[in-house]
Amino acid sequence: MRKIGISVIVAALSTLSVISTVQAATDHATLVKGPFKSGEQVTKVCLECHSKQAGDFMRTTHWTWKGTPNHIKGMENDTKEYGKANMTNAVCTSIEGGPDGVVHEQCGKCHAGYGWTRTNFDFSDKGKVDCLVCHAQKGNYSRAIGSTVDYKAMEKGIMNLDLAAQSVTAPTRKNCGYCHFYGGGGDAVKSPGLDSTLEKTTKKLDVHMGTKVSGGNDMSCQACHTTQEHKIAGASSMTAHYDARVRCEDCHSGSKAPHQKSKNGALISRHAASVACQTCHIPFYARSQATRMSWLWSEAGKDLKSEEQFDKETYEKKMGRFTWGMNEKPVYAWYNGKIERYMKGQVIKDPSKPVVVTKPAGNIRDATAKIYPYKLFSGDLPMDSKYKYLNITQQYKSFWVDFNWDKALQGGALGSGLPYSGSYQFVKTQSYFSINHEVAPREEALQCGECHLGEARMDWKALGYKGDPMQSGGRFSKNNLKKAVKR
Amino acid sequence: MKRTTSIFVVLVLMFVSFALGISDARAEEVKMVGTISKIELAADGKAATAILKDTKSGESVTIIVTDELTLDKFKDKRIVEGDEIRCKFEKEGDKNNSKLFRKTAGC
Repeated sequence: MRKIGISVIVAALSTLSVISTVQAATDHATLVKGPFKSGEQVTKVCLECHSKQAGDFMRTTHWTWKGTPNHIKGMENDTKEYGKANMTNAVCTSIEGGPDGVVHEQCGKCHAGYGWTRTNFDFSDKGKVDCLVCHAQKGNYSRAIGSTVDYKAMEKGIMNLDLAAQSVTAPTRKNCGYCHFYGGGGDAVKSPGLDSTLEKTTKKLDVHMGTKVSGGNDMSCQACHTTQEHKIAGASSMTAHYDARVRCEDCHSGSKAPHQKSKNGALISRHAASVACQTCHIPFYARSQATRMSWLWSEAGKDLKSEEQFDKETYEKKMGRFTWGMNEKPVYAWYNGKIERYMKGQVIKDPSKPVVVTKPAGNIRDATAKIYPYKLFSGDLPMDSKYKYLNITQQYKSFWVDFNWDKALQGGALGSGLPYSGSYQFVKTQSYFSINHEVAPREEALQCGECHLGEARMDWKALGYKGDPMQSGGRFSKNNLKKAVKR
Repeated sequence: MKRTTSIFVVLVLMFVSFALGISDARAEEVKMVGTISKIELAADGKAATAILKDTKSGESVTIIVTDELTLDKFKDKRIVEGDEIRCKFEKEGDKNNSKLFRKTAGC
């Protein structure tokens, strides 16, 4: 009996050893020799073993920059594909401007492929996949305008393509952050709480990603943004398509369910039917560095003076006027898992009101919706005075050269296929950007008195309540349910 | 009574130290934008000195960098000589200790 027991243990240990050997990252230094002169040459070598993976990757939105609009309310069953490739936003606006989509040269810097500089890019060519931007750990791999590796950096000796190719592993925060920390054209511009400081942060600023030394969990991006065949879970509050969702409950459920040891655990957990985890656990955002709160494109092209706000510039001739915010209190809105999105060519009914570019869908009567925190980003964009839709602008190789709006809008029409009448005006915009990073330590989570009992953090009436639900009753309280049914 | 006396003593000490300028030895904070002319990493990799040429005055300023994030960027050449930097540092004696050290460029 004892012998059998020992055999079982030995067998189990051997199996574990095999599994761990398989799971350990393969040292590519011995497999990938070089010398390499281009990114495509590296990809060719990668494909010798990873052709399937390249094929998988090419079916993801990281490659196509579009997908079926399963995230957009009212368009869930649409089979046409939408995304960064053919939509517009109030940040960098659009990638479609210019004859034959010439602005791809600039925007393609963040496309995980080589050579998407014009509209005729071959999305079926595996040889064009850039494996390194997501997988290289050494050699200071970087990309440049022209949707290519940074040849200038190679010439200067700042980048070593051979070393980059030999250092591939599963992506680290540095890889994901190469593009995602700089969304909107610079560090911390667009996505609240998602900036370069996350590469090495502290528990106080982010309990998940904070370093072990600081008491954090030092988690990789893909610990939450799980991947399957290169499809990465997660849904931006701007994009049309997602492959899979990330939910706090993916980890925090069952035996790891939250609030089990809390004094008022049952009461707090009841909130979970109407309040998202992020609402209480991210009481402030942009805690590491300031994020852009507003962006007036209408001011671009002028010779205005720039001030400094939270160590950032408030004016750039190429971009316009900005304001920045740090340690900002979120705004709150109902979200049922869908967004309401301004689509290219959509007619603006009342130009005197802000055009809502993206906004969470849901309301107090929607039992599937919860209250989530957002950064409310305001700005302005050119609207065609005749056709009453947001124009597409060609900044790269047009506006950024001569600061001529009229010419830039003609260029935008050429690339996007959305006609420009020759007359434009600026309209105000609003965008709601979801806040999911910079989860604070539990001691800093919101306490009852920070939303209830007269505190102004939540605008209860704007959310559809009669008043503070602690006094007037929650949306699922018997009285309020009856009223809702009558409505 | 004892408690009141203690509070009184603490307040008196605080007043005296403030009056003598003992407690307020705060470092001066300076902001600048400049181009890196030289980076030198310490042998143990835990600090670096960077010389920045101030874009406004043209003067060279030596900054001591100790934060890990920036040191990593020096080590893997994401920040190199020639890069334009927005910097905030504290002057402590003859040392300029970096509090913020970021590239100015966007995409």
